[in-house]
Amino acid sequence: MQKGPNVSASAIIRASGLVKRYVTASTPVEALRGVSLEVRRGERIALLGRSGSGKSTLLNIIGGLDRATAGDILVSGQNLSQLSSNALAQYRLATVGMIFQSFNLILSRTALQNVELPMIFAGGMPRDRLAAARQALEAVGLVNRLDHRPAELSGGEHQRVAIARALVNQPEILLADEPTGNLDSATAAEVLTILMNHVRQHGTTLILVTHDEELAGRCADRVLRLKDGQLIS
Amino acid sequence: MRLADILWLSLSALYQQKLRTLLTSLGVLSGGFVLVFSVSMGWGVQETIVREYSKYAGLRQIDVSPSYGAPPATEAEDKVDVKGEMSPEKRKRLRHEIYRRDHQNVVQSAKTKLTPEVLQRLREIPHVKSVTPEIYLNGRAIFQKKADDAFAHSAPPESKNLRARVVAGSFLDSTDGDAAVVSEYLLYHLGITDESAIQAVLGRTLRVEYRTGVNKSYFLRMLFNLGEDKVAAEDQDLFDKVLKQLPRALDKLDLKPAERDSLRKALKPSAASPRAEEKIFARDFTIAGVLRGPAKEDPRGYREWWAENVDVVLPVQTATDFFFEVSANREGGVPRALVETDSLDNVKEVTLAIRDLGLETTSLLELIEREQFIYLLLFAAMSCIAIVALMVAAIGIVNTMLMSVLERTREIGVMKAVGARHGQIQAIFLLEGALIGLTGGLLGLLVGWALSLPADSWARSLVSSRMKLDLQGSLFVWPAWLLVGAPLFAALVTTLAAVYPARRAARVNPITALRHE
Repeated sequence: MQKGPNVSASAIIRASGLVKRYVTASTPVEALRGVSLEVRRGERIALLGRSGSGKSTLLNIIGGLDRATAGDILVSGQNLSQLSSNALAQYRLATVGMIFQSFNLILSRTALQNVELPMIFAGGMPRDRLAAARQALEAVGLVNRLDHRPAELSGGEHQRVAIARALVNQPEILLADEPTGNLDSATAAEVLTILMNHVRQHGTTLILVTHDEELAGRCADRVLRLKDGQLIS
Repeated sequence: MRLADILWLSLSALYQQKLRTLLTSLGVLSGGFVLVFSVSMGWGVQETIVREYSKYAGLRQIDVSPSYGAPPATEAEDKVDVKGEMSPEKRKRLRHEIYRRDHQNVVQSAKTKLTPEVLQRLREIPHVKSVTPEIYLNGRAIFQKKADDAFAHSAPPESKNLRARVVAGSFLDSTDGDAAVVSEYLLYHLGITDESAIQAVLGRTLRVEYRTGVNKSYFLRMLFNLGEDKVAAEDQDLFDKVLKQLPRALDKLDLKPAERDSLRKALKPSAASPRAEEKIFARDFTIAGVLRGPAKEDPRGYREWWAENVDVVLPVQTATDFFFEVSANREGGVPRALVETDSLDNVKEVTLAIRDLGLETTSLLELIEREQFIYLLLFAAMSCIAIVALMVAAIGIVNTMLMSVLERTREIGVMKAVGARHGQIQAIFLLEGALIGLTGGLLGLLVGWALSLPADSWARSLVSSRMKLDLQGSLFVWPAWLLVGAPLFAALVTTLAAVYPARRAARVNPITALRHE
């Protein structure tokens, strides 16, 4: 486990002894076996590991999509293990923005409506929402695609919409799970540029999950390696 | 999250599956339509019944009569003496039969009689507007030395059907006074045959006479005039004369002394029943009008059975006073009285008060309520069927919504990943259910209303041809509570149907959902 500066005041994520156990039909599976880490505010971390190493599981826990079976995780002062499901939803809305490998846009809604979505759940007024969504889409270079549905967008454009959506609420932490996995190298480069530009501009903490060593090295300040549910040096 | 936003999310979801939404709504529409139809018609028929009956002023009237209770049974019955050798069962049977026959229709067994005191107590019941006793007398009418049997009855000045039969002069215009209206038939038998003579009769005096007790001279007259009805006034007095002399005349007949004694005893009015004593009561009236007999086309009034054969119509109060001149009548009371209340709402209350006095009542209102009840049951049954139809639609909704949740698993996952709360996801699906119900309900209301128009004319033409009754107003009613309530009820049913699917949707695990498809 890489040792960063000890218990720094600007630690935005502090996890200790995270365990995630799945109970399947046959035998229980331990996706995480006691993971502890610290991330400073504004740091860019890459989580590297093969499939099944538990990196996505860890990301999901940090993102509040999943709960650890054991262990504690404090993000921005909140102990995620103690939050109710409603509070966790609020956390996802306000603190975290997530990008997925399969983009995860709602196919029946336009680009603008997709980006607007988090703000609808946050309860904002339509005028403010649309203005913010426009701005977010402009920032990712999709000002001409506002009323297009995902079916009318290319893969790279999908991901850019997803990025806009993830960032529209100005989250403190951006979680990206294999963001360029489904993209060709040219598009991937574009997407990454947009991503890194935002992160740099706003000082957003970034946790990037990938199996690509080179990508990890390029984008991250620190690389954490996971194998069989544990962090290895 | 704003309501407008949930609404928009739900609407767009429904719009995404237009055909499915339409088909589900059709199910709700059918149930809603039958419900609306039966409620509208059920309510409308109730109102039609009241409206039709309201045409008779009689709606506020209550018929009052003494209640003939069964005499307090076996005690007096045991005292009946049955002669002869017989089994105990036969003796009991005969005893019962003798007692029963002796006590049939005896007014003395009535709990409360309509005496002047009771009539006054009726007037004092709150909300009672008027009490009109029914007086009828079987007596004789004497006009200018001619006499004939006559049936006299009281009638209030408002008697529409009688008024229509006046052919000369006018009908009674008050409840007292000495005016009387006589029948053409009676005048004919009193010798007034010519048309010209009819007019001359108006303003003249008519004496009405009736006898209480056993009318012995009547029976004597029958003996001498077998088959003959009419008797001149002089002849009547003749029979009275005969009767007076009869006891003495027995001496002149060839009888044994014992036979003579027993006959004389039989002729004497017994001290035990002073009512057997015959007394004559008479009053003079002024003929105000002449009445023709009832024609076939004349409407039969409710409670006017006597109008067919009445010879002399007397004012109510005068007839009542005349009737109560007889002490026996003051004790026995009038056979019927009509109580009118001040409003339809008080009929029930007044009816109960009258019954508390120990009297029997019938009112048009009871008949109406009975009729209304039958139709109420019918339409309640129809409504139940309609509700069943809605339930079926609701079950369909549970099914289609569960499918919808399954299909939208990924979408739900995305929403949750983005930060939607448990309750917000539920709200979206619940609202989808509500919208289906609201649409189906409104359309059902529309279809119901549209179909009620031809249905109404068809039903009314059926009533018109079969019952010769032309109904006014529609058989269907569309009150505000139905127009608002029906779609809301449908929406309630469908929202309840959406509860389980909504909970399933909210429980979707975002991680597995995002891996879906």
